[in-house]
Amino acid sequence: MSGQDSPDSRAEGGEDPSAGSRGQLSADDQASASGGSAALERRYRRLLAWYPARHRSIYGDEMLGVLMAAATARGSGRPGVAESLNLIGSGLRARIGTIGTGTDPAWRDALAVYSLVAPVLVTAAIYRAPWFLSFLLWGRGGSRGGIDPLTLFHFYTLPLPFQLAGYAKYLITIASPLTPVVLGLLGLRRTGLLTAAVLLSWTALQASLSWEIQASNTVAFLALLAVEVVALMASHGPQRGLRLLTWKGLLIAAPLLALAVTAGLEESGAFGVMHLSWSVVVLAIIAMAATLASAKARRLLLLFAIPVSPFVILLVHPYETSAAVKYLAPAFLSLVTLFVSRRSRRKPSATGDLGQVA
Amino acid sequence: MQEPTFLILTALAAGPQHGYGIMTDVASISAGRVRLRAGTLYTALDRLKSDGSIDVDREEIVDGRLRRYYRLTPPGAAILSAEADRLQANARIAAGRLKKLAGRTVPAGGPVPAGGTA
Repeated sequence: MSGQDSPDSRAEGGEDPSAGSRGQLSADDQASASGGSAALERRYRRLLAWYPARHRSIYGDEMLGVLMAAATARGSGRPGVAESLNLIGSGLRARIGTIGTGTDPAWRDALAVYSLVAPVLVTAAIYRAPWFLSFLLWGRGGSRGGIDPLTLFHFYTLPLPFQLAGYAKYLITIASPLTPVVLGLLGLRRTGLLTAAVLLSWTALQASLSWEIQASNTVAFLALLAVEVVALMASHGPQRGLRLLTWKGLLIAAPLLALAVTAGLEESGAFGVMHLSWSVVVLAIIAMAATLASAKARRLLLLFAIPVSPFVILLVHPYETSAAVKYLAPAFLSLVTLFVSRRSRRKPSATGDLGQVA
Repeated sequence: MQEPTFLILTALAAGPQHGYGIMTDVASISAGRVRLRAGTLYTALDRLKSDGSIDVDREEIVDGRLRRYYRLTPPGAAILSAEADRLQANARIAAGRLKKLAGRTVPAGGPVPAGGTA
């Protein structure tokens, strides 16, 4: 990939006196160390394998020199525990950080808009009928609805503490998808990413333990969260998404968002309401995407098609839809997205990588 | 700006240095309080390089191993200067208020050890 590799000598690399004056070893020490330094170098190389290949090709050899020099200065023959953990942690962080850097800018921008918009639309669509999410978050307590303000008719006859607990639970439920967005807007994209990943793992676990796993709402929600995690990982997140949204886009999206909200208000027949809300959400997305630059709009549409696809299948086959088919649709679209984004990534990276190194 | 970043930029303000040189310099600037680990150092260097605060000055091969020297760029120097001003302003306010506090406590709280109000 990069032409930065320098000649790699394995022998006696460790006695680098370097800039530190503490790195002085006697001749005896050096003689006995040369065998040990090869082993030490091997250990450090193994630790550097935690870094992504791009980072290694740029800094690998240089870091090895620094690590060996520091080890020599310490007079130690093996990597320290804290040093090793630091390398592993930094390597993993670099891996997460570089997931987005190979992606072409149009994809990253589409992901940024998605990371901002998708959770907002979910909350707008389900705030009046949050049962499936309530169940996914709280387990059985959510489905029985004991203290859910919206599921219990005689809720208002309960003692005040129960009512307050119910409201708190309700607010946490509908606000939970928004947490990563709020964190992202505050400049805490990585914390937002962690929150989204925890939310995804938890709801997926809860769903897999119950029949909820077959519900289209659940499939769509899990797919939406999974794409959200990728979006937060690979793009600059909601802050960038907010900058990309134009007034024109917001003006067109606003009435549709309002429609999604009012669709959520019609409480009769929760099943139908959910579909109505979702289809309006799809319209809002299409309208907003149309106002973005066309390359980004197409990508955004493909991204949103992933969580929406289970409902499309439900429309085609209302009653005879197995859970597997519902999961197949978003999985297939994810693969298509991955394939398309990989293909567009190959072009710039041929020249882009070397340019960054120098 | 986090302290390690501030110290790395300060180290490079003295002139181009290579990785291990920055590590030892940061330790000496902070009187041994901040000891950068290689992972932390190169995460910071990569970030500072990509946002244009530092750049590669030159490369040397020492004992068959690549050694890269980094230097502060003009935008990096501007960022460091702004941060230094900010820290200085904060320190000045803190010192001023401490002086006032000491002045208030002298009559009320009795004698203060010699030089205590300085």
